[in-house]
Amino acid sequence: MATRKKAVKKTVAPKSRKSTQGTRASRTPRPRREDAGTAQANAPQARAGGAGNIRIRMYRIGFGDFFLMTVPAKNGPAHILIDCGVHAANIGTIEECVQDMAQVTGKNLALVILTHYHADHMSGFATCYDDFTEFNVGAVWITNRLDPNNSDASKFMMQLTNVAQQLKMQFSARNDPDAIEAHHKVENALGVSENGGGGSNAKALKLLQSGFKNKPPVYYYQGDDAPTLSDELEGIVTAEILSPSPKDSGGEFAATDNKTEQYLAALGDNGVPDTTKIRPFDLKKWPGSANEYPRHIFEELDGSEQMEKTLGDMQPDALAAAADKLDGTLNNQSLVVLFTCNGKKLLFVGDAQWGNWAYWLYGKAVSGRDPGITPRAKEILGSLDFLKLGHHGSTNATPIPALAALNPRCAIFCSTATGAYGSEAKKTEVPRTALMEAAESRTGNRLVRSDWVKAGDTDPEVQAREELAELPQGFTSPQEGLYIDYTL
Amino acid sequence: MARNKNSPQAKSHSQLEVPAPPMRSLQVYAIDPSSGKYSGNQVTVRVPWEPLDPGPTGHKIAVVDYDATNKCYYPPINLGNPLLLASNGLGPTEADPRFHQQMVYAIASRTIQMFEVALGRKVHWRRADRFGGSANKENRFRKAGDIWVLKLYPHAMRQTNAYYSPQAQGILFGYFTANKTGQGRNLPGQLVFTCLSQDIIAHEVTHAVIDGIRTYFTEPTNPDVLSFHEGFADLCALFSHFSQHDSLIETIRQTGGRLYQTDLSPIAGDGANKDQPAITAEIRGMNPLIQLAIQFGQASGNKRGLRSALGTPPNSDDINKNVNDPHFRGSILVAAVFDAFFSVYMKRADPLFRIYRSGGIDTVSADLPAPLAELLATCAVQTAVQFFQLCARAIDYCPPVDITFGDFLRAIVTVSRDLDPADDDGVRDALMEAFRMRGIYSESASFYSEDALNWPPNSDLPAIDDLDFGSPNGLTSKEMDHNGDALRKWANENRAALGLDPDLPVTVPSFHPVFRTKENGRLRMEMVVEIIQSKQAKFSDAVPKAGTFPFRAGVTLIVEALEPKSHAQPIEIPPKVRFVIGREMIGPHAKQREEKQRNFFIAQGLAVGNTEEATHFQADFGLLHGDY
Repeated sequence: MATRKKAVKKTVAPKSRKSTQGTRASRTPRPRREDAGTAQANAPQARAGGAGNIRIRMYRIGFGDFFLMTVPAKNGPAHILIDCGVHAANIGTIEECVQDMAQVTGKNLALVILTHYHADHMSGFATCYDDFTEFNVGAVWITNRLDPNNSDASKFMMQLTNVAQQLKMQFSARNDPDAIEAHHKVENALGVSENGGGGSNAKALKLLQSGFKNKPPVYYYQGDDAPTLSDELEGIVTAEILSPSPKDSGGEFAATDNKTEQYLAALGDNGVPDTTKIRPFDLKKWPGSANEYPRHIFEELDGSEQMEKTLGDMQPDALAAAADKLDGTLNNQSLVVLFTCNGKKLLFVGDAQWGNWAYWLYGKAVSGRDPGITPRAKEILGSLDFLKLGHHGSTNATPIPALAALNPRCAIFCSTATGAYGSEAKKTEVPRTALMEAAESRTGNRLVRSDWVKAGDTDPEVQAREELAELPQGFTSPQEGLYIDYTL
Repeated sequence: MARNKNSPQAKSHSQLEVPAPPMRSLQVYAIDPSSGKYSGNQVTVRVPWEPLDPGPTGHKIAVVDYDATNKCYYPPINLGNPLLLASNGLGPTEADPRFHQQMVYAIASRTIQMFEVALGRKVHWRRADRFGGSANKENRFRKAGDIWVLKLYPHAMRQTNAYYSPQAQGILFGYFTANKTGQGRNLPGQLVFTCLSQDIIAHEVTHAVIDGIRTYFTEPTNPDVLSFHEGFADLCALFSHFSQHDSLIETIRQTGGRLYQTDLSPIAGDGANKDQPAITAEIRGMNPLIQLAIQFGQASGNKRGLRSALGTPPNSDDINKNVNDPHFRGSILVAAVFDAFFSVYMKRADPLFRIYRSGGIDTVSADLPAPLAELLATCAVQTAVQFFQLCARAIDYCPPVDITFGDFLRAIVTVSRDLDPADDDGVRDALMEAFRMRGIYSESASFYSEDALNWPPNSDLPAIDDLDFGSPNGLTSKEMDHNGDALRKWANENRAALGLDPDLPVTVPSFHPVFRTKENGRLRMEMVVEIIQSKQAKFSDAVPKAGTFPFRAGVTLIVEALEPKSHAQPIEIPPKVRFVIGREMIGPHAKQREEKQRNFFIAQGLAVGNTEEATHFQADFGLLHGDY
């Protein structure tokens, strides 16, 4: 235990600093490898203590994240809530889950984390607003892209919201599958609106910023910040913020160089692409038809109709592309937190996509020449005991080098629901079968999906049970429903 | 040849034989409609004569005016119409779609001709790789993925884009409304047609030509590949401009012969009033040719283009910046080659300036007399044609996969030595210096000297028996089958010596006989052969289910038919391999390259998505070219 305390002292920053300015904190000294090693040697003792275990509870609410991590603290268990929201494939259990959490925690949370501004990570804070106002919270951590005191961040979020609102209007008039999926994405960025007012995301954010009973301090973090823990957690856990990339870091990670962000900002200012048709020539004056062209030129293209279809299919859906960029940009704002507790390492990655991962995997802009991941990233992944799989198991949120470096004994939770996004035909289905299989084989089938368990009236997902007949060691579902626990 | 029925020739058969003219003249914009006030902007280009159906539809290219945004066709132009034949086609106008069709046809046709002249052979469009050779009967017919006639869609879509698409078997040109602000020379909200810009047409046709020459050349396997394609297409488009005498004259006059100057002298006055011009004619215009080069260099959103590349001292740092921006890196290649071009031009023009100055005239302020401008234009055209030939032929001397800028430098140096061993005007020196100043080196050459950069001549490989060079007019399909089999047999026997895996099959996607005149006036017969080997490499050994990517190796062979030394020797001496230019499949270099490629694909985000899809690892020029 002495070793553990030593490691804690070294990594926790002085608590006095309130980081609402979004300023970048001094770099925390990284714990050395020896510390991790010795701490791990102590692990069996901690497990033997029974109440000394760490528990992660994954609630099944549909397509969305709702994780409660419980750690043994000085005065009994302390609770950390990481995201609480559902958007697509909502199975209507979120209220029941929040009730369960209220009961388990006695309405006391040592820490609440909002990884990023998407309804499927925050809608619960809005729909169960009144319940949450009765909670006492030690501290709130939010991605610094949502820091209201940072004028650049606020402006960009306003622009994004503006884009999302315009896109939403356009998509609600369309009925094709691409538009329906894009509509989901923009709704996710706004939250489903209540009473015609602003989206529920705004309401959820308001709760986190000022709605909890005891008005806890709110911190806005980015990669490399030294986070502040509440008294309850101090000395019990250490936390490192790995991502999002610091706003003042150079190269591709800097906001000024990020073309996607510039593009979205411009859309927010100037409006989404104009998709109204313009005719370059008056058809009355220039009537044409395929028959006027020699027949043989269409033969190679399997006839003029097939050619028209090929060209038609190549017309990019500028609006769907914008919705996709919006979605990815918000995901990449995800706060990625590495907890160390009892010598165990637990990583929560939010919905981080490639740009976010790249920052801490490579520590620099990926030049394309030789981006082997840093020894530090290798060390983190190689010694990981628990991973919250990113973005509900979509193909874009777990890079292969990360998976390749992952500790083969790591346990994985994936909150997901089938049929909400993507399609198998395009190999974009969520959760992505190939990725799940790769992760499963890497960790010896220690990956558990939220839809494995029955919740409310919703039966376990057949696909999930086919993949995994019985819960692996360490995973339990005490009430045969609603949630799955992993104890370590 | 059904289409000959209606052509003028066919009709005249029964009456009087009239020889087909060698060339057809067509009116076009020299630059684009927005450059209207520039006096050399409306020119007539001469393209090879061929009978044309409405479209125009020719032997290699067909214009199909289908608008997929508005789902309609526009009526095709019939250049066989006697009135149009008599007037060199329609006059330049933005308002008539048929002029657009004519211009797209004319510039595409001219670009193809430039390549055919430079390469010494006919070009064809994309061909799918043929596995199994002539024994596989399917290979004799058209395969999915082949393009036999390149389609040009002048108004394919409402989009600020134009791109070559193998899927659509052609080039899609977009049209769009100019921005409400910052519209440059266009009126706010005015319609802009990408199909009316010579450079865009030439640029896109170049992509299609290169894709036809090499089967796997466009697979972006390292940061240089896409940059190379962008830069190369820009170079071809620019040299196509600089080889047009008529549009050069005016620029030469206004730059005092210094073609590389970014500003033109004002039409009125001697520039004394330059700080406060009172009338338009006193405003210094930009050199339209350099401006083009600048616009080309400008990546979307990236304002550092050729202007800085040509206007500021070249440096060796830029090459290591923005490695993921193909346009930016491509512009470095363009700047390097153009630096050399201008240096050689100025060297050749120097005697003319000296003669002129000997009359006691200060050339900086004086207007150039018309005959001098003519001579300078001729000199510039010759130099541009020479540089275009060097660039185009260098493609034959590049490795068939995974090209880097350094390879192109070595290729162009080798070609130049082949074409002009004496090099009195210092073309090679100029090129090497310009590349060196921009930090473009070759990883494979040990020194930065002409000897080291020249690809090493090969002497070890056995001669290739039984290769048929055919007639200069092209191979018969029987000869092609025969050569394909002979080359595959030879390649399989020599896999190890070529750095290829002895256990993997090889394909020979292309072989092209080339006929040129040697210094001694006799015919040099060569064949450019592409040999490819592919395997699927894993993204991760630790995660076997993470998928695979195609890893290719291969060599380009330059094979020469030797001249008999005496009459006693048989005419048929087995052809000798002169150069082997390649990428290995086995050995430490190959391992390194595989690792680099894996990391590159992962860093590009290509490790996700459908890696089994055939097009997954191909360049998407549509994405690359957004926002002209």
